Amino acid sequence: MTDATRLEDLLIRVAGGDRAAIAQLYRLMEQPLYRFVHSRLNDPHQSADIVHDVFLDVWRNAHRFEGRSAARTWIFGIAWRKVMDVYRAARRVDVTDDLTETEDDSPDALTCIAAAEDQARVRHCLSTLKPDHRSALQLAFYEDLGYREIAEVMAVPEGTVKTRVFHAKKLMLHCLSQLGRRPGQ
Amino acid sequence: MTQDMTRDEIAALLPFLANGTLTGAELRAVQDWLARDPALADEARALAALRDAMQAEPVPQTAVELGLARLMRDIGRIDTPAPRSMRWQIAASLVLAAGLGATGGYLAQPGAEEVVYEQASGEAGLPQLTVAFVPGATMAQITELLRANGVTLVDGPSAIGLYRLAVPEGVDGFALAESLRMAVDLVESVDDPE
Repeated sequence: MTDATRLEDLLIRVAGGDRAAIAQLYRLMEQPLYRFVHSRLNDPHQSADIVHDVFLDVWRNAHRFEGRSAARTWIFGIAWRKVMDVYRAARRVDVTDDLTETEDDSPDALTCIAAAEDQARVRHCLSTLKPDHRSALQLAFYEDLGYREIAEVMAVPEGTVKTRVFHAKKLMLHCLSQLGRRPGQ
Repeated sequence: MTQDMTRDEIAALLPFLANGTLTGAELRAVQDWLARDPALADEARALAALRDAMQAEPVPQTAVELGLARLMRDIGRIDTPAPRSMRWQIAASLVLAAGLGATGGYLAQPGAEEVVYEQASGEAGLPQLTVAFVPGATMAQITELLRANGVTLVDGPSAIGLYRLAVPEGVDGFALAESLRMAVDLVESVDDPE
């Protein structure tokens, strides 16, 4: 049984009121969901509460899961909507991550590859991204979701996802390249 | 359609080549392009390295079992909402029977500014309060209430949703219990200090 079918099987059991299934689902999905939510909210307690609410929603609404998307995508979509609710309530504003181009700062692939081996550098560069760009890249590289799945999670057109990931990877490679060129960094 | 893709469109698909989600005509179009564009091929390798680095990052350590106990408690409330007074009587008897305190709870989340849970053994000998919070009270609200009253959580939530709080040294436990009872929006019940 693949991970995807395992999750779908658990969701079906949850829809039938199976508590052991929701516990299994929680153990499988809690940490990836926490990482995703925390990366947007940067508040451990609030993130834990959001993840808790996500699983309550899964418990209440599993019967609505129709299998048109993957179970993982469906659950991440619930988490995304709750994060957006927090943003709307707090009227948070995304910071910009616009790239200022200069003549000689184009990313060098080999430097990027070397810099990517240092997780501290990767985390730093991720932190410089605009939240929507960071979320799209994280769903692609932490969760290995395709662009159609990310579009479902974030409830945006596929083209928007491609654009966000395109900008995110461009900025990440640029950031890693710059860090890689600095001696002692 | 994929035969007419521009270089930018191919570049936009490279992250999805790196994570292995491209299939069919799109995959073939990207592979064909990379075979004749060394710069894009280098970028694809850099993205694969970035994806590998992110995959290798440790998953944040969370208090999975505590969170699961909280979830099961709330699911129980959704399924079979018992009358409030009955719930507290059941809770109190189960607390006595279970002898809560054998295990300490710890909820240090990554980046937490302050730990409100402490090992039960670290508060040995201090009086303790058993508290039930109202359904829907969030961890953030509970944390704020505990901080405001200077108390630490030594255990909980139990499977039935009870928390045990340590009464700080030199503090009147009865007065503290009364202070917590005043937070009627958050606190369902507070037992007198044990």
